[in-house]
Amino acid sequence: MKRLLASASLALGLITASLAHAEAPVAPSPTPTTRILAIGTIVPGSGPAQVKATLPAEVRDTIKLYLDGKIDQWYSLEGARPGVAFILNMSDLNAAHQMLEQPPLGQAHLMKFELTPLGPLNPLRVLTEAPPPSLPFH
Amino acid sequence: MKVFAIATINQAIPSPEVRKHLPQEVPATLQLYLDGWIEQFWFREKLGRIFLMNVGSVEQAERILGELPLVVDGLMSFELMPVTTLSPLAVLIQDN
Repeated sequence: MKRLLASASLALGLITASLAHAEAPVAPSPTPTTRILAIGTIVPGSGPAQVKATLPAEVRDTIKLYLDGKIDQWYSLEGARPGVAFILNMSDLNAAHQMLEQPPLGQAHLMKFELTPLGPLNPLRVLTEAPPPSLPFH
Repeated sequence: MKVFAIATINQAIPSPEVRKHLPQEVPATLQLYLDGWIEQFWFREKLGRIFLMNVGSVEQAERILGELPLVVDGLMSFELMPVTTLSPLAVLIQDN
């Protein structure tokens, strides 16, 4: 009798678990971080002379990051905000922050970086498979 | 010229409403890539897309992106950030 009760209880548990599973939202496919967009802007109030004096050392350090394989692409910002945009070959935001604070402009607090993790264009999945109910688009 | 286009989804819009647009939005995006306007694309989890575009002007980028279904229906907007070659590298050859 005890065995019967135990079996019934186990079966009930399994049914409950399976129902719970069926009702649980399907987890969205996570987007892996494969790159980091780093937008660096000169901190307002920094003196142009101070920035200019730091530039040769800054460029050397930036080239080293490129040669080390850390910077995949590099651009200057056009328009009102002086600064740079890097695509980093990195996925760890903390490591990227530490790395970008090392060059002279970062150390002198003349440049501030905003980091954004990037991944593959996840919505392209809809072209290859039926869209899951919770496909993440935002 | 190159322009970074950083998408922002209107957070007030519920996700199902956004998902309803995907069957039109994704092919339209892929077409912009095939046409050469979008050079590279990435995705930010829960935030949306980032494109690096090859266009004649920022205004042209705005017009092209303005035809994407999510933008037409006011569910998404793009911040446009024009970029150019990394000009400080010039300091390496200024004495030559």
